Amino acid sequence: MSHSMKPLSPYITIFLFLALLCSIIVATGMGYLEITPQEIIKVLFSHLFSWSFTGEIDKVLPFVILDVRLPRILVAVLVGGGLAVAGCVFQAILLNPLADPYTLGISSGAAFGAAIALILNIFGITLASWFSVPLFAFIGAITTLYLVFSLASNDARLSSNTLILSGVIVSAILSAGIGFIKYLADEEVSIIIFWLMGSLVGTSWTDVILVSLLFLPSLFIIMFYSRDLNIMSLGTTTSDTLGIETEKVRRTLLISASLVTAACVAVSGIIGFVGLIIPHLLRLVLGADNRVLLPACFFGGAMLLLFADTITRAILPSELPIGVLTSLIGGPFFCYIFRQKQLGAG
Amino acid sequence: MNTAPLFEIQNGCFKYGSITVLQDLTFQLAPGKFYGLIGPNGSGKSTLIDLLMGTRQLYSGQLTFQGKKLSHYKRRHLARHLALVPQHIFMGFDFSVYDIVLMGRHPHIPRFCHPTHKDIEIVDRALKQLDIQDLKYRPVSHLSGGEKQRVIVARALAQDTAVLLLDEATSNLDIKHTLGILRVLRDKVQGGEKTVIAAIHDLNFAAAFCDELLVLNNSSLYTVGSVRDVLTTDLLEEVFSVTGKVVQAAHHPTVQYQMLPDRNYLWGGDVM
Repeated sequence: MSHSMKPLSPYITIFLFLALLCSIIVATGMGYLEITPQEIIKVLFSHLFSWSFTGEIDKVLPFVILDVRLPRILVAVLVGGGLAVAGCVFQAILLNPLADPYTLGISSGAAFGAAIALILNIFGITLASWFSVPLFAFIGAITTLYLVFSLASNDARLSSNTLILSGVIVSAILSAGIGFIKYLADEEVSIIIFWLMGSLVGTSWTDVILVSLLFLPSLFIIMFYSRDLNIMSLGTTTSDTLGIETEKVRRTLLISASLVTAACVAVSGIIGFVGLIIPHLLRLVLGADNRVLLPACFFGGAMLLLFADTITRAILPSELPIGVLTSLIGGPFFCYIFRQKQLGAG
Repeated sequence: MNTAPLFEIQNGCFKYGSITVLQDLTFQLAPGKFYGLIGPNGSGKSTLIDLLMGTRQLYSGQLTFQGKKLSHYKRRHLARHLALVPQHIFMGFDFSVYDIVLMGRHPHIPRFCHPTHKDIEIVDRALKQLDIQDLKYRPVSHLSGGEKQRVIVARALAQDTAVLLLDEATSNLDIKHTLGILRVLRDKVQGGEKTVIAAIHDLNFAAAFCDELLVLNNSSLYTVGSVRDVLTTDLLEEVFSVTGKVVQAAHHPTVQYQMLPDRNYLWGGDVM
């Protein structure tokens, strides 16, 4: 049996979790000030559990680790993981390997909201921009989601084509709106463009909490329905007859995945590629079982975005838009895997 | 308790938009029989199967399953009683044969639980009955059309329901596997395990394996009854618009069609 697919061991999830943990510690140590893993662990443990260690800890280390690096790293982890999980859900529900978290127009909605906040800033109507941009982006994303759903709602079964088409229509209108705002912004258009390409600069614990609050309940819901999601890949008729309330589950999962996406976009701007390629790539390697795939996507997406963010933060001389980097790193790697898989199958 | 008919439909009517697909349906189906659903293309066989599965709702009229309105059942509950082998097989992602057949156990396995020994035993038996145990770990994308169809039948058997509906489940299969599947189903009906309702195109298979036939024509029920009563030369002409004759063989009738336009071919020129 050359094409055998044996059931996977659950250890793969544990392995990916440990790999992510190590990546977080290594990434925390990297930057203008090099910190060893031992020092990081000491600082973390003394902060979390009030343990005291023999030997001196540099007074500046807790500040660098806890207030500067860790929030940004955790946001990278949550956003990368969130986008990959959302992408996996969208691909499974829309039965389309080309679907990503932005298929339903959420990115355009968020970008439109953010662009409005930024243009208001440029025109001098200041709403505390650190807060207003994510908030407007989130509101934009949710409004778009609502519009897409109401546009698709006369198709009671919420079929994949209707949803994708509704997403495309709403996106097109919003893109025109963004174009108009860019035109209004005139010389200061670069602020909007930089936001559109995504960035994790200046993320704080507020962002970590915002993303976690939306992410954790949604993740639970998504995992709760992961077996149903497997069966739904066999089509509506089959999942109906296997006892799944397909329309209800589909709606619930789409809304959960969209909330995750909206939260990610709100704090980081539009980061492409992670949500499209990570689920696709891991499906090639691990198979299509969402119960294995969804956690793996979280860890895989988290590691990719953390990797990209660490490069732009600690290695490159100046910060690049993170969305550009994720594609530059992930793209060739994906080409390689895709080619290997083709050769293997042929 | 089992005196209630399995399915009972009264004045059933179904429309797609403004197009009437089925009307004036009134019949009962008893448990423990092998029903064949026959009729020309577009006569509403698939729609009737969808109605009986509860995946489509009647436009007007009433449909009950075991004495209770079908639409009042929860899907998960229904899935433990009714299984379907659909006409169109769709597999969006590349699961293994074993995974797909195990999905038939979904209505029986509680959430977040692993399949029990019993579940795995049932799946293995279904794989064996469909002669696909060698394909167990093969991804479904590497299967032929006929192999996929057998996987789907195995999944429906693994669902372990009292009623099995098949919508032209043998259309892609070679003769060996068609007979194989129909024999497995026949045995289950005779052993009292199942009621089978199968839409079948081939009248000879229908005649050989079914107890009763439901004939659909022009969006309504043409007739229902035992194979011997229903399958006649008149039926071939009126419903299927072909010329042929029905030969009463030892166990079941068989149909011989007039294949060629040559009038002397089968009947010595006295037909038409």
